[in-house]
Amino acid sequence: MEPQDPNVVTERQAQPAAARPTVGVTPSVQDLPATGTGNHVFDANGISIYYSAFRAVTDVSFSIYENEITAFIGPSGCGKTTVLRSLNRMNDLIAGARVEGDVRYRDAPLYGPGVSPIAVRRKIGMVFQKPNPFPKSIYDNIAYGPRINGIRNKKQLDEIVEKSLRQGALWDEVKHRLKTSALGLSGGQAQRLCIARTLAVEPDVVLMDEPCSALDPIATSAIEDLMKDIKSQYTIVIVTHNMQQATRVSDRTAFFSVLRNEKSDTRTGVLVEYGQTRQIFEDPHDPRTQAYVTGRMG
Amino acid sequence: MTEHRAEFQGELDAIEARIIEFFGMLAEDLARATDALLTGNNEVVKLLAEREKVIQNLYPELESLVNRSILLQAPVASDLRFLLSVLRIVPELERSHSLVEHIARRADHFLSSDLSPRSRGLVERMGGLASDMWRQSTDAWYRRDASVADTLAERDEEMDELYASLIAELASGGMTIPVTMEMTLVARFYERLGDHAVNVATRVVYLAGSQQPEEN
Repeated sequence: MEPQDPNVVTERQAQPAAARPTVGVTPSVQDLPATGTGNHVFDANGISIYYSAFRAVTDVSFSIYENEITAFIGPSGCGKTTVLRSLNRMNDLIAGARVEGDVRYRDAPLYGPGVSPIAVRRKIGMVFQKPNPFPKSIYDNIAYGPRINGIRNKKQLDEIVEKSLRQGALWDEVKHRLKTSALGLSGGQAQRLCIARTLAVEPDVVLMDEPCSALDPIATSAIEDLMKDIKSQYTIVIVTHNMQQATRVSDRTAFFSVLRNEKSDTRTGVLVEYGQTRQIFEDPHDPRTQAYVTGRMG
Repeated sequence: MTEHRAEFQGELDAIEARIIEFFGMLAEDLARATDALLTGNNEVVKLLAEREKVIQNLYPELESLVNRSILLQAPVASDLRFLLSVLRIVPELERSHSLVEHIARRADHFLSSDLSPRSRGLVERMGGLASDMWRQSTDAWYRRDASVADTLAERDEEMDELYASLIAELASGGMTIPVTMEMTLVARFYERLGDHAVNVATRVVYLAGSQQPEEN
C-alpha cells in the first residue's frame, strides 16, 4: 500500500461526524462535542493476533478517529501492546507473529499484498516505553529520519530539527546544545526527544507504548501537555498502565482484558469495552470494566 | 478472581451504613412528627431536638469521610458516582430532618383540637404521603433503583394538590389566626419534604448509572 495523502478525502472520511458509530455511550456523554474530525484512521475488524501457536488477542474490532487521543488500558497480558504494535506492523519483526482479520488504515488494507511495512512505519510512528535516543547528537537524532528520506539540504534539516523540537516541547531546553550527545539528556527530555524524532518525519499517526511509565510526574505532565498540543495535527494511540493518565489525555478509551479458557487452560486478550473516556471511567457498562477501573480486579 | 482494595471498600460500606442510618432516622421521625402534630402530644419534641444534634454531627462527619475517600482513593466509575451522590444527598437529608423537627415543634403551639376536621384530614394525608415518599426514596437509594424517580415525581403532584387544598381550607378562615398561620407553615414543610424526597430519587438515577446487570 502506498500510504495515502492525509489530505485526500475518501468516501468514508467524507461522512459527517454525526453519522459515525458511537460505541456504548450514555446520552449525557454523547452530547459532548467530538474533539477530532470524526474521520476513521484505523478500522480493525475481527482481528486475532498470534505468536506462533499462541493466540495473544482474539476477535478485536474498533475504529480509531482522526485528531483524537485513544488510550488502550487493561491488565498485563491482555494484548493491548500487541494490538498497538499491529497498527504499524511492528509485529512483523517478531518471528512467528501473524495477524488475522482485517486492519484498514485510511480505508486501505494495512496487511494487503504489496504493502511495505517500511512505508507504513513512515506514516505511523511509534514511541516506546523506555526513551531510546541514538548515541548521536541531539541534532542528528532528529535529522536521522529526514536524512533517510533523502533530505540533504542543511537549511531544510535545520528547520525540521527546530520545528520538531518545538513540537516536542524540548527546543528551549536544548537549543544551545544541539550538537551535544542525546545520551546526556534526562529521562523526560530523552522521551520528548524520541517524540520529536518521531514527529520529524511528519507521520500521520503516533503510537505510544507507555511513554511515561519511566518518568516522574513533572516529566509526565510535559509529555501529556505535548500530546494535547500536537493532537490537532496527529492522531495518537497510547497504551498506558496509568489510569489517571488515560482520563487526563484521552478522548476515547479501550479496555482490554484477559479471557481464560479453563478447559484448554489457555488465555487470550479481548477488547471488553470501548467508548468515550468519560463514559468508561464514570459509567462503564461492562462489569469487568467497572472492576478494573475501580482497581478491584486485574 | 482476587478482590483488591478491601480497605477502600470498607470505607465505602461505612459511608453507606451512615447514609442508611440517616434515612432511617428521617423516616422514623417524620411519622412521629405527624403524630405529635395531630395528637398535640409534644413529648416527642425533646427527642427530635436531640436527634437534630446527632444529625448536626453526622453531616460533617459524612462529608469529611467522603472528602477523604475522594482525595486519597482517586475513585472512578460506581465508586465515584456513589461518593458524589452522597455529597449531594446529605444536604437534602439534613434539610429534611430540620423540616420534620419544625413540624414537631408546632405540636407545642396550639391544641390539635383547634383544627377543622377537613384540615386535620388533609394534614394526616400529607403526613402519610410524605412518609411513603421518603420510604420509597430510601428503597431507591438502597436498591440503586433509578426507576423510582418517575414514580415519586407523580406522587409529588399528589402532594402539591393536597398542599393547595389545605391552603384553600386555611384561607376559608374557619380557624383562629394563630392556628391558621402555623398551619400555613406546616403545609409548606410537608410540601418541601415531598420535593426533597423527589430530589433524592433523582440523584439515584445518576448513582445507579446505566450498567447492565451482571450476567451470572
